[in-house]
Amino acid sequence: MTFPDMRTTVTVDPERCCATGGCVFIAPEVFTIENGKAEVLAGVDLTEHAEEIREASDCCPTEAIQLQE
Amino acid sequence: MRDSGVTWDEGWRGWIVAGHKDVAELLSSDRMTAERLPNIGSQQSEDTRVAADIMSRWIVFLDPPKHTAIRPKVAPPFSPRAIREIDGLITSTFREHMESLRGQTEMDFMREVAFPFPATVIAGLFGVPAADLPVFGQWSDDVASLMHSGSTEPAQGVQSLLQLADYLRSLFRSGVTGPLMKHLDGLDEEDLVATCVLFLFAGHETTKNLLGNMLVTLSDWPEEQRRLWSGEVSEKRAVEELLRYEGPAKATVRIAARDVAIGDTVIEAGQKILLALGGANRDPKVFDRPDDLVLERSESGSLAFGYGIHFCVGAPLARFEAQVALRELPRFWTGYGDVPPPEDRQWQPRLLNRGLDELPMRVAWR
Repeated sequence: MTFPDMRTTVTVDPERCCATGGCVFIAPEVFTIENGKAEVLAGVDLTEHAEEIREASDCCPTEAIQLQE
Repeated sequence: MRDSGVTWDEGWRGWIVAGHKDVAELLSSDRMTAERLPNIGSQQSEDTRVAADIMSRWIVFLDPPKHTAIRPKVAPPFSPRAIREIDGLITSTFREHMESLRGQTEMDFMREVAFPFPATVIAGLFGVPAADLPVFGQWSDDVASLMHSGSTEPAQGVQSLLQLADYLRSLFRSGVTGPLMKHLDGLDEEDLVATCVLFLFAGHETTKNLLGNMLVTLSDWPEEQRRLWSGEVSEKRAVEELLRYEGPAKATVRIAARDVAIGDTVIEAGQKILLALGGANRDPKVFDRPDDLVLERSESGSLAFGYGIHFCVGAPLARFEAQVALRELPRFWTGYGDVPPPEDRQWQPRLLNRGLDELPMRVAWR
């Protein structure tokens, strides 16, 4: 998933993710839990939610959410 | 137990699930409930009623939506970001403590290092004065025993829980605070006290056991220990494998809220289930040579901190404390030995956690 103007990508590492759901609480428009793993929802405007995505990444207890800027 | 995966235990009157896939699925299933207060004695007594009220506010015993209302308010102090902000404090706490022991060539590692280090860290983060650590440590041990089906009399655990809660309540009312308290706004006083009781004991008890388990395991695997101390393997990777191999949380309990089928077995609504985290972490379907300690293991998926919405809130702190210990110990010691052989080790008589009562050793200081 890429921010159109910032060329930032958001990925969830399924090897690290333990489905704690913290990201879904912080950024419900961006993340969901499917089959026991967090995923980035398709078609989301990531720029609009950039702040929540950073917060979710910083707070993830398994450090599974990666932002590449 | 490992091969069949799901077994009924007549003595415990519940199911034991030990396969990795089943444990992870059940931990993230909404067919399970975490609302399962341990039996802490007769509800007739006022003390027991108050203690039960405190425990009923613990997120480990709450399902959504109650869980969802509290967990996001109590998780921020332990986020990887928050822990990075205090990494210097944690490292200096360890170093100062080790300096205070310098020269002791024989010690019980549990009493001298594994207990005081994480207890000093968590107490400091919540503003508990260092002078109160011994009494706070005893209360905390009693509460842990109550929680983990240990041998302490429930009445003793209840008294200690109430004393710990009263102690924290007066600490907060007197305005004492620590670096993590700033993250805990938005809770009412009773939820705050209950949560801090939980975090204070959970925050040192499990880490204490992890530290002891790491040292006893490394003494059983001298070649892996050598690779760690020589820097061939990072302490970060070593901690992950040590958590998998001999983590402090052996198992966790859930109750089926609805019928659940696992393979050919149907677990009926209302039945209790012991989810064997330790068994799942030795599942040969996931981990190659599961009973070997392989510090540079490539497989991931350890369930040492659980899975799903109850994944350990304090995992980033516990991981960091364990990494600090492994990184710093060789700065103080050239080695340690004379650890009791397996048959002489004093494991705590508890159902849910894995930890040593004592770990005598001989230490060579630099």
